[in-house]
Amino acid sequence: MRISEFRHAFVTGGASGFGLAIANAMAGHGVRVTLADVDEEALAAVQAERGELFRTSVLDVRDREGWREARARAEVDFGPVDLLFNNAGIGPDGSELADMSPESFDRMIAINLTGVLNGVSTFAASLRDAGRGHIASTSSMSGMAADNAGLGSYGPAKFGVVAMMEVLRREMEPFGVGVSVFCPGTTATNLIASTRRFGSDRFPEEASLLDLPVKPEQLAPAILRGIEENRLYIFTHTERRAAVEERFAGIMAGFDAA
Amino acid sequence: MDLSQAKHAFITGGASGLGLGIADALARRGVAVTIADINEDSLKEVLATRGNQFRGVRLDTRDRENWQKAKAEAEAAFGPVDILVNNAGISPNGREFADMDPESFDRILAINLVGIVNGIFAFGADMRERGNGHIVNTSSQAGLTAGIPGVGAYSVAKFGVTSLSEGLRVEMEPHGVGVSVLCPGYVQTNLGANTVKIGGDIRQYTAAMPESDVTPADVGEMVAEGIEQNAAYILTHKDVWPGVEKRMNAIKAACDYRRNA
Repeated sequence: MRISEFRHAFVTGGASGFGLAIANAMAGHGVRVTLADVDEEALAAVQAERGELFRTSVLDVRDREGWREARARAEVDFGPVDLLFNNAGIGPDGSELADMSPESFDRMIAINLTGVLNGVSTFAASLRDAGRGHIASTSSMSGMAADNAGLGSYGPAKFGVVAMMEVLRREMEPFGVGVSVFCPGTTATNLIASTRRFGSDRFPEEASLLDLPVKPEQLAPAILRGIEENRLYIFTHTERRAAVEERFAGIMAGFDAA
Repeated sequence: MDLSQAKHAFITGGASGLGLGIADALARRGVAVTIADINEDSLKEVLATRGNQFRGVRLDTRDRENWQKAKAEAEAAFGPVDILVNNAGISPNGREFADMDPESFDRILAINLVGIVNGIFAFGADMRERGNGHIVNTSSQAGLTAGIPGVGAYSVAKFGVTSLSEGLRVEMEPHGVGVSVLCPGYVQTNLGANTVKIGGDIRQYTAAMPESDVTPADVGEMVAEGIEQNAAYILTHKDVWPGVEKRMNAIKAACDYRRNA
């Protein structure tokens, strides 16, 4: 589906980072966008600046009732959603599994994994009935390789998102609905602030990824092209390929021993 | 890990299927076994036919306090646990995502993913401090490849278990604790019946499962060997490989697509 053929995109984590970059790029093609975010202030700032293109909706992706309400409000304004981008997420808390608070693990799964399922539950049946549309979700290169310490909850959530999109793609394919999973590497986003907001004390207040050289705006065209071409995997950071290959080699060795 | 030095294995979902196969294989090597299971009838049945090298404890792996109690009880009898096998799990729900009750997704995640990390929370720090031990997590072929409609929630949880195990292995390696992830193909077990028993929903997906001549006893032997060798992946069915290879090639092609863009 060409980007300009989409009518209404619903983007979570839409008030900053990848979400906002994707929304801006979509709007550039004339797509109406609902930005959903848990950060009310950031939403208000975007709304004040670019209110004519966007609608905003305060949403905690863990809240299933909140999803239903956000959808209803969004569709009153802009009509049926035909592109869902599940992008909201938090970063790892940095602790190893043996030291991790169970509540921190639960929070990660609730936001980064079940939060995506909640979006799928809210929109997938309607897209299927409409026989057109697209669902994309932000995973990570940490959804492809788990070779670092301290990612013990982030990795399972992001691997889970990849698996969800792989199966969803098969389920939606016969009905003309596309599915993609976006797996970025480290990018200049608000991830650290978002992680702090949800109670992780790993990072000092001044910590930020925003000075990193790779900006979300630079990656938005590749993301949009991935949607347009209905690619299952959208990769933007090639430096993690070696880790992915190494993982595959390890699995292959396991099959040799089987 | 040298199994002749191992003393006490704690195995969830140990009263039937793969868990029992693993329990028997470790017991044959002289390890005392605590089988933890949610199903008390099955526990009684198994214990009636096995010697005093076995003990049973009731455990719902979702319940973190229950884990602490089960651990205390098990270690009072057989000493510190040096092998943890996180094996308990339920089957796919047979629902496509668009039609899935979110609570069914939650249940599969709570048992098949969080239930496993709960075991790590209960035992991981002790093993690390002792500088000795091994953890096996049961994932699935569905933790390596995904794409079967109706197996989505299950695949999500099992991909999570695979990732959890890979990450844990990196974290535990400097401390002398081994970690393996078991990714079996289809084995004849009572997974479906057990799933229904604890209130899970399940549709006729099992009808599509291939015949398999790999038994739980075979898997038990493979797991014992995998622990001995500290294998990262314990894989039981070579016929799973073509699907895994296909997925790997698709991912590599997608990486190349970006590089050439």
